[in-house]
Amino acid sequence: MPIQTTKKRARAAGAERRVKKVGSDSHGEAELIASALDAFAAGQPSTGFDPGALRDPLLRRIAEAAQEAIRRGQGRVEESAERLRVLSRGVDEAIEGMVRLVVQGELSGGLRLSAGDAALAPLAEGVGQVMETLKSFVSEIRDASLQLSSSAAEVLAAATQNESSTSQQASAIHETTATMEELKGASHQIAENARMVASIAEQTLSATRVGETAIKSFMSSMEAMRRNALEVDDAISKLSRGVERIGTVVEVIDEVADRSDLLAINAALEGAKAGDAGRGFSIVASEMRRLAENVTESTKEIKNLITEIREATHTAKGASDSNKRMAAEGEKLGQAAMGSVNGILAGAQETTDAARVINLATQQQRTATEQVVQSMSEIEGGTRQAQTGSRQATGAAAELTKLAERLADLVKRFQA
Amino acid sequence: MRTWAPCPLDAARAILRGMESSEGVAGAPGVVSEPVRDGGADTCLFGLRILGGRYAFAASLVTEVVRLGPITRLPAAPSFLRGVFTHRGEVVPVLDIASLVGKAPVVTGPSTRTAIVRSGPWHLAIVADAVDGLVDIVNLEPPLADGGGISAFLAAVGRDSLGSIAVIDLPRLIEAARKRSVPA
Repeated sequence: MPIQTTKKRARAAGAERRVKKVGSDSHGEAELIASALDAFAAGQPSTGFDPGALRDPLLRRIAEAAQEAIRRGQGRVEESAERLRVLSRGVDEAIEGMVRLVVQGELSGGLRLSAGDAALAPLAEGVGQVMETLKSFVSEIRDASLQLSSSAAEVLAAATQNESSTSQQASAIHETTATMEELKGASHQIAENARMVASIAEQTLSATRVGETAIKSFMSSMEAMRRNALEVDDAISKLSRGVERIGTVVEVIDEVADRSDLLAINAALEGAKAGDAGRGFSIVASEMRRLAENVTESTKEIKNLITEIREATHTAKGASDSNKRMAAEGEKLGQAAMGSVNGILAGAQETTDAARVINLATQQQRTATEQVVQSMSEIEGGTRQAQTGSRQATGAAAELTKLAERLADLVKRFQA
Repeated sequence: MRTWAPCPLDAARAILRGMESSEGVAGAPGVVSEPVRDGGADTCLFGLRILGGRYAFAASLVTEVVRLGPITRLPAAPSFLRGVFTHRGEVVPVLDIASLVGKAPVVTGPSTRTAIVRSGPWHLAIVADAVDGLVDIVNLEPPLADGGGISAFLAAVGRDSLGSIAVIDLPRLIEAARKRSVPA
């Protein structure tokens, strides 16, 4: 039980006891007045206290004044109660309007209170301000929801496009990674081929050096052949001169033999003319002629031999000249071959160097490619994550779109 | 190796004697002017090569074998008279038997040999492709019937160590040449 109520009850009980003692004395009458005041104070109705019954004029006057005060106070209490009821009804209408506003979203109409109490004017004004504020909020929320819906749709489209792009990017990165893997294999193959080229170039270099040595030997042989051909040429010239001299001598011998033969023929004739006396002479002549004929035969053979020697010498001279020409051509060819071999040597050396550089470059390329492959793998992982994020963003955007739509629907419920 | 003897055999000797006597009877007296000497020296044969064959005539007619020197051609002379050349201060006419019998002339040169012959009053040089000198012929036989050409002047045919050889009646040939070279 509240404490105020308990006090009021205690005061009423005291006033009742004082009234019972009024008739006794002034003090009692005072007590009686006090009790009536306590009862009034306690809000109890009049207990039939009559101030005229009091003997003490002062008390009676006080009682009458008190009674008038009580009567006036009760009138004011009743006015206050009535006003309180009006205010309560206005407050209830205001609360009802607020509830209707919140529950039904009806913001178009203003709040109209049936009670015309001026005390409710601030409430009505405040409620109206609240409604206006809510209208403004609803309007702004509607605009915001529309904008949100549009933005959410754009975000969804962007997220969808981003997801598609991310997927394409992931596919491209995958293809790039595969390509880089192939490039890595190709780099390895190129490095291997470059190593083989370098090896072959080394072999070519070695073989060319062997060829260079052979060509030098060949040129030395050609030089020796040319010198020998010159010596042979000189010997052939000497031989030719000797043969010519022999031919001259043989001509002399042949001439002598021919003259001897002629003399022998004539001697034989003379011997025959001399008859038996000349027989011995004829025999000697015959022998002389035979000798001369032998000499002629021999000189003929010598001439034939000389002819053969001349022909052979001529042939040998031609062969020697040919040898000299061939040796000179051989030397030229050897020099040309040496030049070519030197070119081949330089080319093989350059090829070897280039192959080494290619091998080194391809090794570096392979390392770089491996790094690129590694990076692409990491990028691919990141892209997968981005793809997942894009999907999530797309889902969130879709959810956001739904929420925006739902918000728009909710806002539509407030009719501003 | 050629072999030859300085004197002929008896058979050849007999044939040549018969021919020489018949030539004298045939109206060419003096052509075979040299008397037949004993010992058979007049029956020795001298061989030479013309017309692609081997021919011979009496060695007694040959005075010398020499190289043919420079020939001086004679104007209006027949072709078988190649010209004249000087030998030991004497102008000797040169006779080409091949041309005489209508064949290709003998090709002459600095070493061409010629036989200086004397047949009766005639002294001339006979050019040949080659000179064999004295030859020793066996199996001499009368020549075949006259077929014209050189065969008209053959006296006999025989063989020696080198093969067959024909014997020319040189005086008759020289007489024929003389007659042809002298206008009628």
